[in-house]
Amino acid sequence: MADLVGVNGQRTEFRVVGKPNLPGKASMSLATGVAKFGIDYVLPDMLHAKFLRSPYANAKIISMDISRAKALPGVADIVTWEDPELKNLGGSPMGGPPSRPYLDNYADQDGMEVGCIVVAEDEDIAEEALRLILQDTKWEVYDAVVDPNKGRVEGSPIVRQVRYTSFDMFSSVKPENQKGNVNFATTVQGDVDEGFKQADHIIEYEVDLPAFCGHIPNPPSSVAWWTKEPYRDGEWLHVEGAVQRRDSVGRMYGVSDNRTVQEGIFQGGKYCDWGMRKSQEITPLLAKRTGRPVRCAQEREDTFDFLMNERFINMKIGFTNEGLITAIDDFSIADGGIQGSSSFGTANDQGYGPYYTTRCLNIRQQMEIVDTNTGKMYLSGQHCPFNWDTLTVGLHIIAEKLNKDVIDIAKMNLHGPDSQEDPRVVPSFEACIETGKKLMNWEWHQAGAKRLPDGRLHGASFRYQICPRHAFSGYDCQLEYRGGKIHLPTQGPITGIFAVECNAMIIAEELNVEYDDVIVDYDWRNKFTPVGGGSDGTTASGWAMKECCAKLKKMILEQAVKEAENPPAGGMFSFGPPQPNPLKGYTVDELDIAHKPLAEPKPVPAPPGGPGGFGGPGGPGGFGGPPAPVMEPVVYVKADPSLFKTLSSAVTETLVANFSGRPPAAIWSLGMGKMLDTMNTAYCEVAVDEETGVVEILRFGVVADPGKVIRPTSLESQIDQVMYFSQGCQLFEEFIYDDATGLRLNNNMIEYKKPTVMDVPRVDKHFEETRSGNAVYGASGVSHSMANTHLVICAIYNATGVWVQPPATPDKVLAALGKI
Amino acid sequence: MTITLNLNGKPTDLDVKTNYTLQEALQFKLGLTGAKHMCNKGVCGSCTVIKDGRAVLSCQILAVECDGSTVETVEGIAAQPKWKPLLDAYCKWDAMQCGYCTPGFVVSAKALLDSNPHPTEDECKEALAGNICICGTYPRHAQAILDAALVMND
Amino acid sequence: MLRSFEHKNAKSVNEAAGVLELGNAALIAGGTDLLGTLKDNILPDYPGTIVNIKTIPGLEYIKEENGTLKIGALTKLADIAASPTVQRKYTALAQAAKAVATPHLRDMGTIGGNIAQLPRCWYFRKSDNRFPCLRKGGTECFAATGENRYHSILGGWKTETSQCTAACPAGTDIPKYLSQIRAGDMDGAAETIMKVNPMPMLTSRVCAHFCQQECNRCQKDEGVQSGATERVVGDYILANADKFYKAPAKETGKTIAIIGAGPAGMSAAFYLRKAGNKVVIYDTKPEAGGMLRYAIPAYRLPKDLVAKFASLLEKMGIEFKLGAKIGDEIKPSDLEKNYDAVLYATGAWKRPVLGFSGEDLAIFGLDFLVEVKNWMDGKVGQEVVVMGGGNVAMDVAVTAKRLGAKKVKLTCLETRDKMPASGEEVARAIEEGIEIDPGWGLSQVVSENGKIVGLEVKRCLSTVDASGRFNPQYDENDKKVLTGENILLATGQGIDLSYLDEKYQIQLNRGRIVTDEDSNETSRPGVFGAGDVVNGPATVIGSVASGHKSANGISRYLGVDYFSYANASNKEYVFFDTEGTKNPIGLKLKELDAAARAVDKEDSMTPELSEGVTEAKRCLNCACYAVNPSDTAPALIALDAKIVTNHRTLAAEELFDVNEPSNTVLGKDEIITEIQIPQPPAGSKSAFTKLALRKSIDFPVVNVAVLVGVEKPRIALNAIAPKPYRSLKAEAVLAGKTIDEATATAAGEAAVADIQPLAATKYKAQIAKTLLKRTLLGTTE
Repeated sequence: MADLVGVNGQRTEFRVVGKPNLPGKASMSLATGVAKFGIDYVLPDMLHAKFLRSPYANAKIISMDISRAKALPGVADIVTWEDPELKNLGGSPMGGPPSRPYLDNYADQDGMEVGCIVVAEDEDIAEEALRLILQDTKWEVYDAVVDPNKGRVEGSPIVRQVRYTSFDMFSSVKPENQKGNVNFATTVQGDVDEGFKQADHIIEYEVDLPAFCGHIPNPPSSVAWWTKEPYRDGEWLHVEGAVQRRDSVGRMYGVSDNRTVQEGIFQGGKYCDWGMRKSQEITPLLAKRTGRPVRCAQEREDTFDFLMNERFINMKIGFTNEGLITAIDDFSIADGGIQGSSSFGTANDQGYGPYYTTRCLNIRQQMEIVDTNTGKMYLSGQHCPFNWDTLTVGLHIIAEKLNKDVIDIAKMNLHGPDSQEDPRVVPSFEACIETGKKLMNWEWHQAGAKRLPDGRLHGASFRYQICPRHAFSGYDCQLEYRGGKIHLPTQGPITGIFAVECNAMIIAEELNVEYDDVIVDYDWRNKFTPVGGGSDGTTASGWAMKECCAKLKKMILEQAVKEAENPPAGGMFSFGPPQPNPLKGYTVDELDIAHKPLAEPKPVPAPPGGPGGFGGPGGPGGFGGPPAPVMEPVVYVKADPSLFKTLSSAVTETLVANFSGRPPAAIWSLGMGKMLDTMNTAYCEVAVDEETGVVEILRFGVVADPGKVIRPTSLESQIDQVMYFSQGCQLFEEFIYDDATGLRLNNNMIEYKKPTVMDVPRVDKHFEETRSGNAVYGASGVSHSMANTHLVICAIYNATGVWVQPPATPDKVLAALGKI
Repeated sequence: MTITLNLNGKPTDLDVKTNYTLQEALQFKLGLTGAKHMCNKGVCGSCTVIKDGRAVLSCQILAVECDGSTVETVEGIAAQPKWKPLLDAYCKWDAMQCGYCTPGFVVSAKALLDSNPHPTEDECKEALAGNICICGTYPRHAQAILDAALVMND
Repeated sequence: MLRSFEHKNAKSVNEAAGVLELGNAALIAGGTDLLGTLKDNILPDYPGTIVNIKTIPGLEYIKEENGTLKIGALTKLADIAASPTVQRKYTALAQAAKAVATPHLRDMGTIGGNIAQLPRCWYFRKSDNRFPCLRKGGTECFAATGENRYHSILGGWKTETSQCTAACPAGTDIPKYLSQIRAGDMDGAAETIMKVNPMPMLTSRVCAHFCQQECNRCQKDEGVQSGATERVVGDYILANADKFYKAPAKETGKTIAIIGAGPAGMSAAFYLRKAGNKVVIYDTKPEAGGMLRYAIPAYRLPKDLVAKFASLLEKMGIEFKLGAKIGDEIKPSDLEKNYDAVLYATGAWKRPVLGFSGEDLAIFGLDFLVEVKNWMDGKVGQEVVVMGGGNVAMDVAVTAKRLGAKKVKLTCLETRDKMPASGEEVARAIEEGIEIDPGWGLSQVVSENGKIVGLEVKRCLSTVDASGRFNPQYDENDKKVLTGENILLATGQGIDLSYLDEKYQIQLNRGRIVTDEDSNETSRPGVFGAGDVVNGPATVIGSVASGHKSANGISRYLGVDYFSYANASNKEYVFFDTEGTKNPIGLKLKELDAAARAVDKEDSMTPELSEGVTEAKRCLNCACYAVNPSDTAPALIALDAKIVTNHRTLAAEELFDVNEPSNTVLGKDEIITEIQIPQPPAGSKSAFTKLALRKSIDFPVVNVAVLVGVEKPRIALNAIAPKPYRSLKAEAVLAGKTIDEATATAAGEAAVADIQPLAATKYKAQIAKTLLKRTLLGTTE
């Protein structure tokens, strides 16, 4: 791929990039509540749709009588699973043909959409109708399994009474490997048995990765309606409130992309959620059937999807007396997740996981993927960061066993930049731990060795990870120059990562204009979307945007030369002869753009015959009086900055630049032994109250190398976010199921406990900028990779010497301490 | 039935069903999108409004019981120049990510500054203890409020 | 969203109460609990009307009057938390109010609502009443054996009598005696049963055990085999009879005649004698026991056990007059004259007239059982037909088989699932090779030359009419003959009241003696009835219960002490064995091999005591194990507050109860109007501490409130029991002591001395004692 102006390294001075507190382009809309999310859409004459949701964890509808519900005043439509229109509906999360019935008479999860959907004048009428339908429905109820450990045992109830073929382009889960509830996947590198022979010590330990909830704050909801534009043929489909792109919905209904309208740009926290919600898929059908706009809103109860499936890992590690790992043997039992969802990352995820960051050459991962009636999951991609903690836990055990600093153990085991056998330390890692130790006043101690003045036990832990960068998506960038402003047309969406703003900052940097001179034009017709792998996508799209900037800049300067030579005709109210142009006679290479004049203007004698025209020449002028300072970008002569003209007057044409592309491949995607360039480290200090089992996180520390910080305000915020995710899943959050019935007991925000402002600890942060990433300015993504399930758990271990599987609630801590 | 609110300083008549919450009435009858439907259980604070001087949860209040009440929503707050520093501070400090819960925080913050123009960081936290931000933007809110208080008290 | 309802704004407490009184209405104050409850549709019933009390003026205030703090019920928690007066003098309440939920909810929620909130158990709260637990009209607690980490450590609380107890005609408190067995308290278990049944060694062997069928475990695995456990206790009683059948310490001087020495009569005799009366039992038969002695086969109930029981009654001083000719030598009028009270418990021994051709050729099953000796030596024949679907029919059939019949066919009107005999008895009959051919009615006895060859039966289409009355319908075209040499009729028993004469009459109805429902007194003052003579042929345990009821009636009539008929005293914490309940298999009685069974030898053997204990551990002791989640409740109890309602004034402690579904004793139209707290004396201190998972929003894992620096310290904890828990033991530890590390620790230990945690709640005790210790120490700072 052509590197138009070079990817990394050239720019050393940054004026906009890296600057804090530049407000988000849509922040005011969000803060004032005028930003409309899917659930906020209210249209005249709008109908409300509600799915029947399974009251059982595993059940099939034998018969359903909808006649009473249909007769209820205000019920507009009821569509059952037997309806031919429903049978033809559907799509896999990744696009493509339906891999399973869109709506079936079979539900293998509590709360699953099943059987029918009701459309009514109001939500309460729809719910009343559903209550009648429930009364008039006969079910065959099957035994449910909520614990993969139980489901894998021979003789346990068969979970999938109806099995769909999964479409999953990433999955290594093969149908032919299915036995009962269990599928099996395995990957091996080296000779694990030999590796254990080389070991002086062998440890075995359990790591439980808890299932925990996705992070979509806004209950996913959609509104759809159809219009016929009188001046254009055909029908237009409007879809609002999506978690997936409008074009996938349009395609389901045979509507072309340019007729599938989505005005709304606010999608809520989307955090690696690739799944289409049924509400989004079906509302166009319901709108078509009823001829009216149809809204389908989920309740928060229905939004407790898994961010990560439950997984129980038995780890066996061999290591030498020095602490060098010689063999890694991982046997996992993982919840297989919802049928038809992507199991990307569930199996074989260690291909980009922690084990291959080590110098250990003998690695085995075996995994049983077990069906259960719990794994409701529309998400993918979060697995990888979390699974890193199997190794994090191991490093802490080795450290404790050898009485050595866990950071030293990690350092010894990490391979170098070139290959798995390269013993050198990766510079990014070295930089992170040096700063991290200072930040945390790091003094490693053995378990139980340190008490705080109040008597509680002190514990500290450490974790590293690579910063995986998004290198697969291409980006279609477009920039427009118009009247002195740079317009960035984008379709959005806005999901909270300030991705557009990062791009706007890069544009301001590259074109040397102010951040405010970059205007973001949100419109569904636009191609550019900065999304694609969270903040990692931001830096990747920024790479492409930087290339686009280079093209636009060239066009601007060329146009400036052109207009200096041949002044365009003045505007409607311009009088007299044109102002003399200070740029006249210079070539493109001799000109540049600056966000403001770099020198006092040279007085240019006013031509006889009248004042300067509106739209202003460069420099002073106007109706006498003292010259107003120029607050606009200018085009200037490099050799003599006092010769300049405001950008808007220097270039009056509208210019459009396009660039499509993606950054060079990230190192980690090149293969084994090349895992490491930009890295991050996280630290945690806890206090454990042995009498109550209460764990307090005293502080988190994060020293990360994002290559280059683009937008520090949101980067810091995202670091807070992942640490609070991590806190939540390690101290409070947990899905509780009734074992006897398989029903979810706590899918509400009281009992499913996300941290509050009163709970979250300090997160001390520091960023290294080694600029060794593959994206813009050598940047890489960072935030996702810091999410973890065992950093706090390791700190508790360091405090107490006992393992508590997450979440470390007081009951578990007290039990582990032998207090009960 | 018809109720009359003093909504953001204006008398407003609303025709509501008895089973509408205030949040539903604001959304479905007036198209106001600031009081957000999130947990719908009175715990997340996204639907916060100020009713008769108290920051309360509009999802847990029957609309019919607001007849004659004074209700202030984020839209009303945003319309007052006095509160521009607060909103500016929210934007400046990125006291939001996906932004869904943000209006609820802004209303709670406004109620705090109404009664306490010089809050400490801890007082800010306490006032926001009923607002859940799933994106975890918590530290930024106190920062924004303290910043706004400085500007407003200038 | 919410379902539709009518909404009313009340202007006064009376107006609101009036709406509640009409029913199907709910009260809304802050609404923070109610609206969540309604949105999730968690209760079986949805209110048609919601009555708003926020419109009632004058219920929102905090004021001090004459040394008492008065808080209007509608006062918001935020205002209580912020009140300088409350903070200074009633600190625990201010701290508790501040600890509730979130600032927003404290600005909405009222003190009245906070103490009256519904349970927070997640099974209870699951939407659409998916778990119809016993707080919602169901019978079981799903949390007890499910996810219960936030539930009780002090046991459960029954909202009403357990199903098993309710199913027992005598009202035996089965969960209670089982918990006594678990605790090793066999004497206690015996006393519990004997409160309502003096002869468990007999009933355990013959009872239909309705209790077992109603056991909640039947939904999952096997019901608790309470018949077997009763038998263990029964035989224990027999082995330790001296303890349980003592002559009364004091005589009342009253005399009572009981006519009939069956279960009803002996039951009444026991309770009346126990109360100190002189009791004489008359019976026409030569031996005591009635049906127990004569009708129930010895293989089920050995005759010596009946005799032993009668002898125990004799030891208590009860006089038996057997072989007495009632109505002949012994006239009812004389009895009435000679005794202070008379009880007729003469049973149902008469052969009913059914009216079919050849009826007199058939043999009355009861006579067959009574005269079983006469049928020995193969006299019963090769083939026998038994008519009847009840337990007596099963006894008749099995006895016939054991007497040597090669083939015993049993038929009855009812279909298989409607047969009145207990499942156990039917199973036994089938095991013994009885051919059951249900759904037929009597047509005629078929005989050849005066010799019976069989019974013609006709298809029975239904046994009851639309109104539920017994009114069998037959298909006269569908008939068949069941061959047999003897036809044994077990289709019912009549009541013989021939001892009453024209001059001595008692009010009757359809051949039964009419008695008062509560006392069993007949139309003649001082004359009572009991058992089958009153209720018609029924179960042994029913007769025992009826006899007990009569004894109570007689005692009241005579003005002497009596034993309460109602047994279940639910006002205590109940427990179950978390490990023992995991056992899915019920206790089976060991039985003789089929070959060894006979008519005069008991088939089954009494289990070992240890087996009884294991079975007792299977009892779930069905009760609510959810905790009261209020933060302010313990503070109010510690501060000795009073709760004023529109009907009464209660101590804070008395307000809380475990009801369906509420957490208070408040009546249907009762509304809390005010909280009153006496000002704690100078030098005292109160404090409140809460531990929850999160520092905001969450309900407590444990909370604790204390009032110290007073003569009698007060300590209350919540979220550890179904009701706020006042720890008298912890208070006693502290009384008169200075608070220091040692006393505070001791108080903490005392507070959890009585815990009986669930599988996942033990940690709460550790937290509770730590929290109490720290709260106490905090008051010294």
